[in-house]
Parts: sequence; C-alpha cells; structure tokens
Amino acid sequence: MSDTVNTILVIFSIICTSTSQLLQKRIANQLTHKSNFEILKFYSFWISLCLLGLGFMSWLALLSQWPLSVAHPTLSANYILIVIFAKLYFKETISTQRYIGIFFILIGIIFIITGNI
Amino acid sequence: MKPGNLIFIIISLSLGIAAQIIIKYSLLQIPPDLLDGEWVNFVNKFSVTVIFTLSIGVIFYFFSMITWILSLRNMPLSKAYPILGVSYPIIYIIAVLWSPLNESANPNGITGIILVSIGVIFVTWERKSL
Repeated sequence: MSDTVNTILVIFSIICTSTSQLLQKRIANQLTHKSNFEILKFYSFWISLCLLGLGFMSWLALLSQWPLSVAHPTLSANYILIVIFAKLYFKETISTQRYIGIFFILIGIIFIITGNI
Repeated sequence: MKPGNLIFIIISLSLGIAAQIIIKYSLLQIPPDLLDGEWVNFVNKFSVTVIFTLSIGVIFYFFSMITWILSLRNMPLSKAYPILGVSYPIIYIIAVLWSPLNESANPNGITGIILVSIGVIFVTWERKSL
C-alpha cells in the first residue's frame, strides 16, 4: 500500500478513536454510579464501540505496514482533538501548561515519523 | 483524585499496552507476500495463528476500554486522557527491545519519544487537584 493510503488510514483511525473517546466521556457524565454494568444500557456506548471498531480495522491495516514503534506514537495526535473538544464541548478548563505539553507531543510525533518514513 | 480511579486507569493502561504488542505480533504472522497491496488476500488468508493471537489482543483491547470508561466516572477527560500517554514510551521501548517484533531504535525516534513524554508530563501534571 502507498504512503497516501497509509496516511488516510492514520487520519481515519484517529478521528474514529477520538470521536469514540468523546462519546464515552459523555456516557461517563451520565452514569449514576449504581452499577459498573450500567454503561451497557446506553445506546451511545454501542455507537462508540462501533467507531472504535472502525478505527481499529484501519489501525490493523496500518500496523501491518508500519513498525509498531512508528505507528503507535501517531495515535497521540488524538491529544489535540481531544483537548480541543474537552474545551469546546465539555467546557473543561485547559491551562497554558497543557497547550505547551500538546505542542511537545506533536513535535515528538513529527520526529518519530520523519525518522522512519 | 480517588485511588480507585487511578487503579482503573493503571489496569486500562496495562491491558492497552499488552493489546498493542500482541496485535502487532499477530500481524507479523501474516506471510509478507500477502501484504503487497492485495486487499482480498489480506482479508481472506488470515491463518488460524493470526486469528487466535489477534483475538487475544482484541479481548485485551476491549477490557482496556471498559476499565477506561469506569475510570472516567470521576475524572475530567482533559486530565484522564493524558495519563494514557505513558503508553507511548513503554510501547516504544518494548517494540525495539523485544526481538520478535524486529524493530530498531533510531535517534529521531528516541528524540520524538522523549518529546512526547515531556509533553505528557506537562499535560498531565496538575498543581491543584481537580
């Protein structure tokens, strides 16, 4: 498979995974703490599971092409999406320190990819 | 932070790391000639070994997600999520040291992992508890 296909696989995988994570947080906010199995009653739990499945399939395809030590760090691109949505949708406060951390993470990913591809 | 939430996250982290290693290992059991652009072959010719090891990885992955959701009950997403970032240096180290994966470290990769780790510390560390 070409680098273009692999790049699409990475982006698709990251979008599916982060969307799934955000749905899971929404579910967690609605839990009443009565039972650990309560989550199974939420239809959005099963949607998040499907998204995770899609992300996972594209992840498998990518992982069959790239070394784990290169492919896995690219998943940390999730951070930028998650933190932006945590701020915009869940109204969580994001400190400057966290933005700096995210900057470091992204530079790190670029280093890892450019060192191997 | 309640200790209970931290335990769920640590369990989730361990399961997630194991899952990635097992899954990569299972994909290496596919003969290389099947991966040369033939999607039909890629899907149809998964051997029993591949499916078995892959299934174990998927089971780990699933329980990693369950414990993750349980840990999110009392933590904000922007605090809980970065903790999983510890998996990046750990998986990198295992990947390059465990010979069956046949991967090697390089200066850019190590620099990248250090930057990611520093980033994770910055993102995770909180002066006042939430």
